[in-house]
Amino acid sequence: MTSPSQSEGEPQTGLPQADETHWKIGRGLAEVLTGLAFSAIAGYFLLLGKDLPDSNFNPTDPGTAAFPDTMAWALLACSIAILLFGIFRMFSSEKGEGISITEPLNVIGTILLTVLYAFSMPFVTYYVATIVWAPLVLLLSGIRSWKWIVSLTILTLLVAHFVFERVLSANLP
Amino acid sequence: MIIENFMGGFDLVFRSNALTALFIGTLIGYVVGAIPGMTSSIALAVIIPFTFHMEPVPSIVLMVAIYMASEYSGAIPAILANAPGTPAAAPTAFDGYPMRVKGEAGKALTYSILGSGFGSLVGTILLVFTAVWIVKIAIIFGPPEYFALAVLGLSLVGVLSSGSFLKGFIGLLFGLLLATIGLDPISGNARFTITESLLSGIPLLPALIGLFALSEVFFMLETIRRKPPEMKETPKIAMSFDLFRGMKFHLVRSAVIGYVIGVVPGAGATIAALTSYAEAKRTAKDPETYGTGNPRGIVASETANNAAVSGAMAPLLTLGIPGSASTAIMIGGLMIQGIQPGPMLFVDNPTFPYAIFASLLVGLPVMLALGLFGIRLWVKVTLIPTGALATGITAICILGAYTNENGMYPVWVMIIAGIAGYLMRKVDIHPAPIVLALVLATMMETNFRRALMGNNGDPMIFLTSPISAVMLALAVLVAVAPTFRIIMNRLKKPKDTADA
Repeated sequence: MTSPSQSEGEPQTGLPQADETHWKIGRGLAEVLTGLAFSAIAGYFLLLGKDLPDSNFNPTDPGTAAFPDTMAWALLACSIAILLFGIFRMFSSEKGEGISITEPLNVIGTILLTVLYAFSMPFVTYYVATIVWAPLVLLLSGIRSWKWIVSLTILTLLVAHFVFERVLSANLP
Repeated sequence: MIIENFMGGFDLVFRSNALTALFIGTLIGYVVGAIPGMTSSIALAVIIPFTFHMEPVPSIVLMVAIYMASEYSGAIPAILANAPGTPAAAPTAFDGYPMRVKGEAGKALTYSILGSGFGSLVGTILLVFTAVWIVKIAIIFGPPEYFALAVLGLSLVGVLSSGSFLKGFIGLLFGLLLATIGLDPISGNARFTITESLLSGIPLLPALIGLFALSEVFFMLETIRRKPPEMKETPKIAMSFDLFRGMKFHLVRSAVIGYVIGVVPGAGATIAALTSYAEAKRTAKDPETYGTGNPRGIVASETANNAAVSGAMAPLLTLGIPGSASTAIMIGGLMIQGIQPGPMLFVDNPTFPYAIFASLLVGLPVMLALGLFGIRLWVKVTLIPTGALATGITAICILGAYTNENGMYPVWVMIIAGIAGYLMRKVDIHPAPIVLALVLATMMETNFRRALMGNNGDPMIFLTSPISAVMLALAVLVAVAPTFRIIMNRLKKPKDTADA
């Protein structure tokens, strides 16, 4: 599997360490799940597209639904193709490299903290939410020095106030 | 006319805040390029919110400066630690790092920085002339040609996905579907607007920030235990133009190769640097010295990758077609400013593109000076812990998305795009085709329908217009080429194995 950066030809930062934790699934299963997810999206658009009105001002206009319908059918076809590739891979001898998430707890923890941060912001104000969120995410990101944690949290608050509120006129919650 | 427009462009650069934007953009670009793992597309996605309140010229100058400077500084970690800061600096490491091992790091950096400067200069000059030439052709485009142009732009998905064409195509179709959410551009009917906020469509900026910057943060978090590349020594720059004696032809050839490859949408700086390096080695009298510390290798790579940046600006400004992830984000940034790149930009507002050309020339000495004299700082930048970087980028992503509409809706769009982007990248669906689709979908649909309505619904108009027919044929070729190459390689492999 390639990292996003590698797909642009980018090198990795540092070498993998022995104590890293990984969550892995087979490539075939990942492709099946991808196919299912995009089939569902295409199906959803096709379903909603049924209710779209026809063009009512020019009979030669293909209409409001034509473009999204064509794209949705094409997406459905590609999704089914990837689904079939996945099933074929699961039962073939060429399984391909699996899909892995390194340090999954850090990644999932950060995603959850960020969702909670965005959710709490309107209720407790941006500044209070940031004072809680920033140190927790820094800790999850492997920063253990309290000097780094305090200074980066303060820096975030200062940038928010001076750059975003004062200069860019953002009305932060 | 060119000189008149150029003078207007220079005037605009010196009168507006473009110089400040140029300096700040260059600084940011240097920092981004010097950190392995950070790319110009991440930096551009993060910086766009800061351009909301800027005038259009300083805003595009800021983005161009980041894009160019990151290519300059990508060579620094490539030479000092064998860890290219940007993908396009990878061939620089082939000879740059061996030179550092020999104790010639200062010389290697001088070759890289001055070679980069030369590449930018030649690239900018070529850009001015080719842009004018492309605009002369593009000005006669009607709906069928614009539709074909959009299809050609989208066909780059095969190149941008740089892996499975099918997965790239899925990303593209997904982006096209997302772009249909909102009001139909022809009839004004609402499409897929399950909530009122969706009437104006998926907000482009938060989607860009999420897909490129936030998803990258999650990838950074996977590498927090990894040690950063070591750069123990801070070399002294050996500033001397004598180093380039006997390299005149080599420099010009590398710059031209870089520019031409840069113009081809989808090819980009990395392919330019690799091609230029391979060509330099192929035609060298001493090809065996390449890869062991031959300065010509550094010059070939750096001159080409910087000329390619100017080359990539040609389709972006003249046709409105992004050829890479970074230029797709730049188009997004321009659209937010209410500017639609394309041939009409040169007709309606000619000083704007010329201001960009002027800023590329004015920026050259700034980039050279920062490169030559700021080396200690760029070496220090690589020591910033990944965790701190990831947290800082997330905080700016959230603030940037919030500033888009002064509300939480874009923040949620950004977070969802970030998580979706991360998961899609895990299964090799790169966000670049999605962004390309978001940028080009309206152009494609509107012109397709306008062309049909203007020709009594006859689809043959796309083939009877010669320009449209050629572009559609090219689109098919561009789209099919990567798959064809993969099939050919697979067919070749068993034969090679048998030969061995």
